[in-house]
Amino acid sequence: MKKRKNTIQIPTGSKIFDIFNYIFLSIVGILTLYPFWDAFVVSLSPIEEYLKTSIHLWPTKISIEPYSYMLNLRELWISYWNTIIVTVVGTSLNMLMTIMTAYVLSKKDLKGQRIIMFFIIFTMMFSGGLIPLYIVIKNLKMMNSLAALIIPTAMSTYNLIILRNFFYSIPQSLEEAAMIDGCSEIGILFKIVIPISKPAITTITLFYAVTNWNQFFSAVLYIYDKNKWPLQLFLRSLLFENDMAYQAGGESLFMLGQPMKMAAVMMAIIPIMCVYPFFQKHFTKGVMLGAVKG
Amino acid sequence: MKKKMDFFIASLMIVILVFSVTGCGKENKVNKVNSKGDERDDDPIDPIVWLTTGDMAAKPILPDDRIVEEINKRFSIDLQVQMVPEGDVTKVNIAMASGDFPDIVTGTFGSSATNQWINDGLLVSLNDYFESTPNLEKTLTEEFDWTTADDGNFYGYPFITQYKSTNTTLAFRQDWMDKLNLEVPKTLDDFYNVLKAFKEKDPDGNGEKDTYGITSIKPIGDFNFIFYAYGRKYADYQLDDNGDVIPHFEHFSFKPGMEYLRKLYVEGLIDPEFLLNDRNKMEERFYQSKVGYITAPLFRHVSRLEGNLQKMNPEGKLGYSYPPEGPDGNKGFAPVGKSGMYTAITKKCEAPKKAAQFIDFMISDEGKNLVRLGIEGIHYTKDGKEIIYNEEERAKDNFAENGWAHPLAWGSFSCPLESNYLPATEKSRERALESVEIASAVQVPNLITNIPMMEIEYGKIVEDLYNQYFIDMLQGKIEIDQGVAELSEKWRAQGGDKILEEVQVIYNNNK
Repeated sequence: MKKRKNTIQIPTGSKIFDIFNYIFLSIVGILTLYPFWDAFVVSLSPIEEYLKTSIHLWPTKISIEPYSYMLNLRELWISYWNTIIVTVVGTSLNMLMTIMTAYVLSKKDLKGQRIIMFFIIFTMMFSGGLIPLYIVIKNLKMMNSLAALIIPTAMSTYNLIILRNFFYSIPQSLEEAAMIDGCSEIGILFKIVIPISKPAITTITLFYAVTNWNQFFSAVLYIYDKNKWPLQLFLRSLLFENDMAYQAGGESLFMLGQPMKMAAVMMAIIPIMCVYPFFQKHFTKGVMLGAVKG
Repeated sequence: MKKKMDFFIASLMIVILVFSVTGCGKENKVNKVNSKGDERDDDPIDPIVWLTTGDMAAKPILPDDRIVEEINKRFSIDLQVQMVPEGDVTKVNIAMASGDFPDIVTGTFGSSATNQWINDGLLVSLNDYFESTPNLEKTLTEEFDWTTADDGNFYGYPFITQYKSTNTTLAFRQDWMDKLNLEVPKTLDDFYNVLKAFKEKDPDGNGEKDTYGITSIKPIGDFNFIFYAYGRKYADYQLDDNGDVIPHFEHFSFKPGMEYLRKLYVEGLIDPEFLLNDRNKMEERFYQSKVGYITAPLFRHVSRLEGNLQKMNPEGKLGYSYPPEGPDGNKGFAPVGKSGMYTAITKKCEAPKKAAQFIDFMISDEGKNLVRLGIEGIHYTKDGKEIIYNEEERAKDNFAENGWAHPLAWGSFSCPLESNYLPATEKSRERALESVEIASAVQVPNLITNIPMMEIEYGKIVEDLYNQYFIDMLQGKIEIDQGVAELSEKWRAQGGDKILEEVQVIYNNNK
């Protein structure tokens, strides 16, 4: 009885609204999840089961053949390895560059800070364009090397701004206190600033990691050796028909059955998806980034 | 102590930074093969860099590839093949535009970018080397005499896909035909009757009328064979009675063809889902016994299509045939190709003669055998006429499995279809070759051999327009007479007239 007294009566309109919301969001959720689920089910089906129907809700028969075929495909592992190198080395470099730059630029007493910031932001607004970039990469002798996928994107201006603003919001007094206790400048960065900026840093790491994992266009431009293809290039060659090669009877991975292709898709997205749960708790805080100060 | 620590961390960071920049900055050369055992000491070895889109599905060329080595030895060159991922010519064009010239370049034939290379004088005229390149001279002057540049010289070797042969035609369920006691249709009327039977006589035997006669592929299906049956002559543009160039929907064959198609559509003989089909989806509907006919490339796909079909229907049998004939006995299916690749030598090349000889070799029978079969005694042996593939040795040089070819074989100079090549080990080899013979016999010629510049510019717009009206007329949203009149007006106004004008000039000049 007591309990009832304390509950606030929710108006019927609001209830209906909530129910509608739940239904609507569930539908959106299912719509988003279904393609992924479909790919997963198809990747587990033998080809004749896959061909039987157009809607795959549940694997009627399970076959690991698609996965075992893909696991034995040398090209897949080579491109996997390349992508892992690009993601790990690239993201580490990204974070190093971004943190150091952002920290320095967040110092209010830095002379010429506005000018430096202007030059950095300028690159976000106006880029050199494709051909000049190509010439630069070529003259730096980075053609056909994974460096071409790492160095040109070593720092993203957008992420830099986010992180700088986060550092900006850290009270000066914290650093002063550390200084009084005898901490050095670099010590302050590593022992004080980075630990308290974890949400921002993890979020940005995630941004960078996903971008590096998905590198595609720069690989098309700068890489010509198949042994240096990143995963996304391999995946695309598998999933999209090249009409000329296909029609004319050339070799084409496209001719593989759908289950094998979907197995490759699953193998390509699962690793990067696995990263998300670890970052989740920081991520929710991270969404607020940059919203506070500009 | 603290200062030391600071210093340590700072220097560590510098080391990391420097390492991460330089460590990855090494340029790795690909496919660099030094030709060993070259006997002619007086002939220096020239490096030749060949940038090509190549065969996107082929395996990579390994560093000590024996085929490349053999080519190197032959011409005293050091061939470095750079294959652009994805068959994407953008990269080739960017490389050329930025001044990063390879020695040999393969781009798209007849595109504005390739024409620009010729106009800007980036390419070497091949005529100068005809003396030492007999195959090249013969092919260029006899087969492609229309690919000369404005100055009358040849600047590259064109490889036009589906130029002399094609593999696309009508494929159908032979087992359904047998079950319903039907003959392979010869005329449009027969064809209608077969489709009707496929629709109504329950060929899949599930007791429901849930089958369609024919399906095709988006955006508007591959139904031009109906117009060819009604007398459409060319794949690209038509001539009216006065000899003026007109689009095909203004030709007399269009209205009867459209009426025929409309009848099929209204009676439910055409699968309405064809508008959404990609190739995968279309094939699935065929395997799932939803349709009896598809429009499909065959050749190597004969065994694949039939194999998949039999996984679903053990009794399934794939048939293929000529398209049906119209009232005057006309028939046709796939058009003669107009586009393809273009391989040329750049001005930067220091050994253009050797480069030309290399191209000459690649299109010669000897060269073709080298990249398809390999080196006799190593990659294959001959037992009389029969060829025995040594798969183990072939795998070492990254040949494709089951008697297929080396990574250099396809894409730049030929494709298996163009050269009618199938390894002796291929399943259903005879039928695959037969399907090409049938499809090629009804290949439809073009009024002009090249793609006019105006079509490159306006082609997409007017094509979209045509597609939209075609679907509306097919589905009965608009009457055919009215549709043609409206389409004609809009098509011509939105760039069509400019295309026709240019085509007329080219046609008159060639006459």
